[in-house]
Amino acid sequence: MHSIIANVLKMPLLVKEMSNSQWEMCIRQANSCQMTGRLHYLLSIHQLLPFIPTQVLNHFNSALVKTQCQQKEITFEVSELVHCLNEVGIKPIFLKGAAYVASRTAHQGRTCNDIDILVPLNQLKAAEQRLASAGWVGEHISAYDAKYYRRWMHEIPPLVHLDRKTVLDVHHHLQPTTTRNTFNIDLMLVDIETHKLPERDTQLLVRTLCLPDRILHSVYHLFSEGELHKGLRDLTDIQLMLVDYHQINSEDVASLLLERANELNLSNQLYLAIDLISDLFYPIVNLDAYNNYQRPHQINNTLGYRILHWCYQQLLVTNSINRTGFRHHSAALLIYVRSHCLKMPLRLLIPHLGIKSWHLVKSTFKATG
Amino acid sequence: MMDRSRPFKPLPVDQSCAFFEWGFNWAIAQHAMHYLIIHSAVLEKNGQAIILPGVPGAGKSTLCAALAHHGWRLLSDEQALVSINSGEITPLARPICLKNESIDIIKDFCPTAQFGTTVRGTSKGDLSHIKAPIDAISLINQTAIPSLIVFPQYAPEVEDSILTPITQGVAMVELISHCFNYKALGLDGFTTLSKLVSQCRCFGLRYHDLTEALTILDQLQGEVAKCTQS
Repeated sequence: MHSIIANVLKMPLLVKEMSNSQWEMCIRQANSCQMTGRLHYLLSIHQLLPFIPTQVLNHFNSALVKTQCQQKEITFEVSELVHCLNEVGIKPIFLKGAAYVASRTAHQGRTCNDIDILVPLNQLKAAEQRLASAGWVGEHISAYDAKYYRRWMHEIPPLVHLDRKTVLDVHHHLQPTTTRNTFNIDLMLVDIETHKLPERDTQLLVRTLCLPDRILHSVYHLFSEGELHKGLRDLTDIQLMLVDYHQINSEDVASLLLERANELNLSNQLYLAIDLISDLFYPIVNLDAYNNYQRPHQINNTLGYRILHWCYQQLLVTNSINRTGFRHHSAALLIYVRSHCLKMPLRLLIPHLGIKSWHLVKSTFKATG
Repeated sequence: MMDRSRPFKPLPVDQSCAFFEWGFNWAIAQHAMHYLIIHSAVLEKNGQAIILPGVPGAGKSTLCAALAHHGWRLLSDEQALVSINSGEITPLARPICLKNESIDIIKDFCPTAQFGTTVRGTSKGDLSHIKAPIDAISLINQTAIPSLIVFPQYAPEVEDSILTPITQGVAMVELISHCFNYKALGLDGFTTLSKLVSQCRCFGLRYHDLTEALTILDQLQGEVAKCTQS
């Protein structure tokens, strides 16, 4: 089954001629990859909302209520977190969804399920203590999992607020410590942006990475994940951030971003994102400039890059409804294996899988008595 | 199983009707968030809609089934879908779900009602569904403006039914607790609900006899109709 939502993203004008059953499939596919609110926004910037049938518009309006409510809650939690951590001298940096909401970039129609913050490793303990007293506690996980998180991961096990049930991921790094191709996080921490939350507290300053680094962090994240349930939405995030980035800066923004990507060892990933945005989406930002520069020789022409490009082309346009067929499954397997290889060397992966299976066997025996 | 996600655990096959209904309710609560959704029955007579919110066990569905077979048009026995700007209620006209003792009471009280099979031993007790009356289905595209809000409470201990007027403020606070998405709608939820209570007369009704309850509600409807005419 082909992806109607992918067709609409590539050729938005299609919505003028879509049948009811095509709309139904489009909405189901959009729901399954958390794209309904985002699709509504993209159709609105092309002035295509008048062509949407009323029943379909109901689904979009319902999704908008949900995303607006989530963003209001995120804004509330962000201001609470800044207050609470500032009290003990910690200035958290907000990442991903919460950063998009606070900075008003790529927030349009976006769902946010949790909040991600970054605190320096040497303040992690103090941050955890302060957060615990404000009601943020860890969910119960096994001793092994807890130890694994602490030893190898770039974040602590997720915290959940006791009353509000909001989920908070506290990071002390942007990559797992086991990652093979690391980038220099200190470079990203040099240019921090601050944003105000006028609807809550005009004095409060919310810190995020600067816009080019938010783009590159999102790019890094997209291509290091093993599963791409929200991959399409994440790629539209990158596209929307590029729109803003190109608007704010009048000079040669492409060269600036490429230079930054190069500094951070992320130019492969940036080129891949640019290629995929050009392949999959209707152009709302001119990306030609990125192709005017000579790409490093390891990109573009190598077999590895082409395979990766092909895999993501397959995976990003499939969703939980239409994921069938040999091409999809082989691409999914390759990306899954690749993400594990990137994050976890075999000397860790094999013992980890061994211990996990042993725990599983033990609990099965316990359950069956 | 829905689009390869599985929001609920499976149930025995004889509970499939109930399962379908609960799934339907869930889907509406998830995907019709642009309405203010109140957990209540809604019926209409002579252009005036009545909202009957109720906690489970209050007798909302029993009263709803009785009214739907005695001159009132059924809009919904479970969810009132209130439009944000207009305050109109969009009908659902789905089968009415009756539980436990209500099944036999309505079988006696509404001989024309068409019942499905009774399923015993679900998580909510014994269940049976009544087919939505034909006029409710044929008028499904016709929205209605509410003018009455009555909080029913089945009270076997009272001799005569007691109808108590309640203030709009109390009704509003009470209604908020019956809304599925009041918080999600933010300011829209507040304005819609306050507009709703200000255009309605609000009562509490303690009843044990259906005939008496129906007479009271018919009378109320008549009074409201007169007020709007004059």
